[in-house]
Amino acid sequence: MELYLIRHAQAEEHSESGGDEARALSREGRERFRDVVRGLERLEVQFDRVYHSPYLRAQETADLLEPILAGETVVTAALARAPSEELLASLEGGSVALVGHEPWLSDLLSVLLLGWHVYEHPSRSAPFEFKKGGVARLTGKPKPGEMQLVAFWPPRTLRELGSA
Amino acid sequence: MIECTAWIHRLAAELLRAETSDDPEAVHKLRVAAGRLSVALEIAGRRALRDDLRALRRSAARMRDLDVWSARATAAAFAQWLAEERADEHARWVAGRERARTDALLAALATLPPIELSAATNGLARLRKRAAQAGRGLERADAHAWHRLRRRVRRLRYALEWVDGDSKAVEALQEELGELNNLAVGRRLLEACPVHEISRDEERALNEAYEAQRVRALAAWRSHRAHVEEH
Repeated sequence: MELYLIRHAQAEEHSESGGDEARALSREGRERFRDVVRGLERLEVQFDRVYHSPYLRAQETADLLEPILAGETVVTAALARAPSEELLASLEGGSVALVGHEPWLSDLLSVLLLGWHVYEHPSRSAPFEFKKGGVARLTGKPKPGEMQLVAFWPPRTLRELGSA
Repeated sequence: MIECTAWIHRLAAELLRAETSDDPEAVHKLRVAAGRLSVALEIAGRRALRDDLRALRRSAARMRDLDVWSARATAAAFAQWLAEERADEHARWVAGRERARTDALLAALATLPPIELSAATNGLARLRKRAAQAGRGLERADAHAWHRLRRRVRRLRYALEWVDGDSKAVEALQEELGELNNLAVGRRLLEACPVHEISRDEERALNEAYEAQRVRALAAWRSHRAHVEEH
């Protein structure tokens, strides 16, 4: 599996309802992430499935991936909490994107590459820092410690590629 | 503004009712709610959640087919078989339902803000175009093409209702196409029924009803086509 971990784009500080789960993407966040998607297009990235958390900012980030989506989107609450075997076991597809949140995305990356959760080594800082709109590409079986890192793209890199 | 809250609540309520009862209206209303919400997202230009809604709607499709024909079947053996199939299908649906996905779907739907009407204009135009395309060459259409037209007309009707547009003509067309689909489903169910010997008369009657309805559906398309294609 080619697995892409994507942190949602920049969101508004607050939602109208006051709930964190209902925070929409900001206008700047949308525009910047459209450039990120163009960057992924330039790299010939395409997904046959996009999983996303139920939070509005993750839904809207998934919406913006449509130009590079050949299959379906799937909402999963497992992307709105700490990484789990349940999440990994549910993944289907050859080229799959997961749109989620920090700190769970960097924890998931740690689990997939290194086999351990960030909290298992509290004296260490998290090995990866996902900025909003950042993308990590992994290859291998989606099991703890069994994936290899192919690329870790800060959003700025993809934006520059997308707007070149 | 397009406000989806009432339909989201309806979806959650009918999902629970469909699971805990054998009320055919619950299944029908669940599928209608899922379909309407999917169209609201589509005309708003949204992509996420539409596949989840479609999966939920499709998961209950066979139950709906069995419910429709349970209400229409007159031959006792056929009706009995339909009732047994329906009970089995319900048990399968409850056991196999993707609960986690549906729970996440309901949580996600609850975060949606109202949709600006202006955002829906392009989406509505796209649905008109797709319905019009599906109606081309209808005189020679096979069952699959009729099915595709029916689905697209249904989506157009929902879209018109979301934007408070005049949907009467499209609704009338949808009803004729819906009845054609009901008869097609009836033929398949009758063939699949192992305990009821289909008499030649019964088969002929159903085939004749299907062909007659096909003529009515084609007339309805010709009569209401302009309302589908209207700009």
